[in-house]
Amino acid sequence: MALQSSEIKKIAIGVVFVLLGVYVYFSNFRKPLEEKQKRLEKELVGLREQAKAARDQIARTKALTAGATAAEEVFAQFEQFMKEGAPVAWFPPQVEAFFDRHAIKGVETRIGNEERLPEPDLAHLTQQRWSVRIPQVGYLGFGVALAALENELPILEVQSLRLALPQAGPEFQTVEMAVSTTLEPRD
Amino acid sequence: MAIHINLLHEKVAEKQQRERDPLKLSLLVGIAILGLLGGLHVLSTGEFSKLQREASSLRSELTKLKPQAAEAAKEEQRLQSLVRGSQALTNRAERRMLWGTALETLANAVPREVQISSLAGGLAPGRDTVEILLDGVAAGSEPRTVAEDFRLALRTKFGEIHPGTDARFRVLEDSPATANLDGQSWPCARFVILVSFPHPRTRTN
Repeated sequence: MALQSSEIKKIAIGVVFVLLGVYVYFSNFRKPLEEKQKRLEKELVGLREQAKAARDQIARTKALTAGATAAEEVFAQFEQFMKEGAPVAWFPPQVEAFFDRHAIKGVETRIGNEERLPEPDLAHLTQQRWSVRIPQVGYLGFGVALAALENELPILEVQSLRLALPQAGPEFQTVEMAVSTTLEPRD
Repeated sequence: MAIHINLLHEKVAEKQQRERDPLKLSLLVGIAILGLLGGLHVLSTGEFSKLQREASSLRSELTKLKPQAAEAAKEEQRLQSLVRGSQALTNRAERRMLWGTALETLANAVPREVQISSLAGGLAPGRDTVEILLDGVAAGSEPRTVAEDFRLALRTKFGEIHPGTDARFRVLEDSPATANLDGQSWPCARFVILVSFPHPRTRTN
């Protein structure tokens, strides 16, 4: 069956209409939609990342909260050695009573200067310096008492120590110590 | 055989002509293609709507999550500082210079031929080294040898507790004094020994 020229024209017109339709579809509908979709997908990547980062942050903090309990316990343990009130009101009597329990009498404790701890995470704590003088003490008795004091008070550190034999009684020494205590200001 | 006469052949021909009208056919094909494209568009729009719904859901989730995350970040900083602080505090306590132990070590190192007359210990000016200055006398037939043995004993005994211990004479001289030991009189040597070792806080392990 041969097509007549009028029919060929009609087919050509039909093809032109179809092509026009396809062009209109791609240029006016498909392309803008794809562009919007690309933009949205890009935005979605960012949103997903933000949501993931936020969820991770919350999860990380939750995990850290569990570990921080132990850290809080450490601070609580140390705080039990830090009494209420000005340190000069309670620390010298505490030291004197301690040495008294070890039969070491006449202990004098004087307050020194106070400074912030160098560690940034311990900036709320201070280092209070003291000088401790014991006029007369036996070497071994003092050694035992000092070891016990260091063991009993983890907030205390002896910075310097001077033992000297007085000529009058070589069995006893005079002791001068510079000690520091880690304290939380509680005025 | 019955005779079949088509009296409407013109109408049939016209109908056939209408049915195979190329314009109509091409329009039908065009409509089909456009229908396909429309279907495709509906699918794409559906996918786009799905993405929009996801984006909208994420946005609303983020409006809740962001303040929570900001709060969590602050809390994380506080907790990290708390953990680091507790470690620093524990290090302070565990890596103190324990002088009770040092005095015991010294007592174990001093032989009966040696008498310490003074001890001065503390942090060196650089604050990372502990120094102990011992002033005393050693007695014996060869008092300098006794003092040297004492110096070596100090280095060994302190070295067991504080790696990197050094013990050096600052002074070692004959003394005019004599010491009575086991009922005999022995010559004496005066010594000053400096024992030094890294502060326990500086240890890396």
